[in-house]
Amino acid sequence: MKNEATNILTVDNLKLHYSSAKGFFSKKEIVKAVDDISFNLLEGETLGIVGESGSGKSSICRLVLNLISKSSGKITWFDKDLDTFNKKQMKEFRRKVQIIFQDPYGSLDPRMTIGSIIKEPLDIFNKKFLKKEKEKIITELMNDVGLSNELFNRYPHELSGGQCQRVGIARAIINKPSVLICDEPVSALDLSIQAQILDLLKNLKNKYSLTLVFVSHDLSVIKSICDNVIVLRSGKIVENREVNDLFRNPENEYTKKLISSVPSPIPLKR
Amino acid sequence: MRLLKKTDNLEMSYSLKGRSLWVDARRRLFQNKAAVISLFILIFISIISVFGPFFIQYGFSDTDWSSIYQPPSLENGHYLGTDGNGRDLLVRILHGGRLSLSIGVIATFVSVFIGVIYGTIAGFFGGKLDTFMMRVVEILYAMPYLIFVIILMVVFGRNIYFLFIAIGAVEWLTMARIVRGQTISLKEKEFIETSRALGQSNTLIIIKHIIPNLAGPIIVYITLMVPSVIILESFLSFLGLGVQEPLTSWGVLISEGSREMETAWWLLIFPGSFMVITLASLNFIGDGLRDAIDPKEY
Repeated sequence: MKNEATNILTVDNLKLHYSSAKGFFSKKEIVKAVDDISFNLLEGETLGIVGESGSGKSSICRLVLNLISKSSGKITWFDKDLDTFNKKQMKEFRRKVQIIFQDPYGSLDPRMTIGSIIKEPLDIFNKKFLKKEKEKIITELMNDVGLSNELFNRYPHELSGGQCQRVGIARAIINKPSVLICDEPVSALDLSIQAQILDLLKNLKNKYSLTLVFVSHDLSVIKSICDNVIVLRSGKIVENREVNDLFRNPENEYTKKLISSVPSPIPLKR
Repeated sequence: MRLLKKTDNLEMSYSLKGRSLWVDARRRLFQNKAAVISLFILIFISIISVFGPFFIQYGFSDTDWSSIYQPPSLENGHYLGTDGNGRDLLVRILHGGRLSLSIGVIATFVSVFIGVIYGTIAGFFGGKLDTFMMRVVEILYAMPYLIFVIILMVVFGRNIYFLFIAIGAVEWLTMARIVRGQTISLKEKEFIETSRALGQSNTLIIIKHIIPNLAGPIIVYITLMVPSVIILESFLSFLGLGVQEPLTSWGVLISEGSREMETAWWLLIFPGSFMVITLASLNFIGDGLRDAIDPKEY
């Protein structure tokens, strides 16, 4: 990094182990979903996490957000250990760190209108706002993420996948978080929509000065949006480097394999 | 031109409003003929049960010693005949309908209320709490519930309001199990996880997200539970543990009618038909609702 950026989030020796018994009498087997992972998240960067399915990408997201409890390790938010947070601090942390999930339909409550879905975070944190103020904030935000205001009273099942993902993004950024974790936000969408959503994320990152954690299994997506990349394999970090550097001269065998498996737009040149 | 404008407006308001899953479900329900007919029959029976007795010249407990065991006739005003005490059967059936239907509805709501709260808490929080709560349900399940109700009735006395509670307290077990199962599958959904990530409290997640999404299966189950409650009440009344004279319910009427069916067939046939028609309608409505509220979603 050229100039010293502040370190917002530090993860030290994070582990998530499950024990699973295959049969009633057989020995317990330990599954290491996340195994001894450490990384820093700098303010304003876009950190990519890439790896095959089952490599622990989503688990890391959920661990960082404290949605599942870790086996061991330490997560630090602005020099404060997450484990020491009380209820109020935890709530404030939740406000500052937001997540978008992979399944655009699954992350929206099918019984709620788009407006009330986006409003939910406002109801949690800004109870004193009047109904009209809230509506104004929501409609402005809907424009920001490229949703027509006509959709305000619609239901998720009436929207396309791309629109639903935009709703998810709007809900995540309505309380002006500083970190947005994107857990495979474009994997369920088709290519043209993927590009639109990626552009949207880039714009929002600038507009709201967000720090992004971008999880994907798709290296070309990672390359287009990230500054630094963590390559994961079966719960362990394989490489953690600057993105162009990684693509130019990958050190690890696994990374090389991953990069060479990206389909090139001009196949002959490969 | 004017017409065109009108349709334009219609389309606009349509696009602005959006179709909720409930609107969709209602439309599908009204396409189901059996369910719609059953709904009308049920409404009709409820209305005549509530208001019918006011328009009949006989009271439900008026005895008329000059007309005992009168068969149905249009001439003397006893359209469905009279019983051994000379009481008009029609007014007794309608009056009994009030009781049977209200027991069905109230006891069902008691059990839904307990079952939903119990089931969502067990399913949502999981772990040891869930294990403990479900073992309690299983133990209660293992007790023969009829004996359970009978013991309750004997200990606390034969109060009609207590009958509501006793039946509801027994029927909630199934409700709790269904709700728990649905809650477990629901809480794995990403929108619940998102809501937690947003900082929403557990109580509000249950109220705002879990229960509205459970409403479909709950409503379906309610329509299937009302008949079983009515039957349970009839059975308790049949055993002499339910409603007491001169009050009556369909169960009591059928029980009395069955004793005298060789001499006075109408005392069994008419209350029986009312009950069968009501139960069949409720079941058809339940089936219709199950189809209407898309099962794929759950």
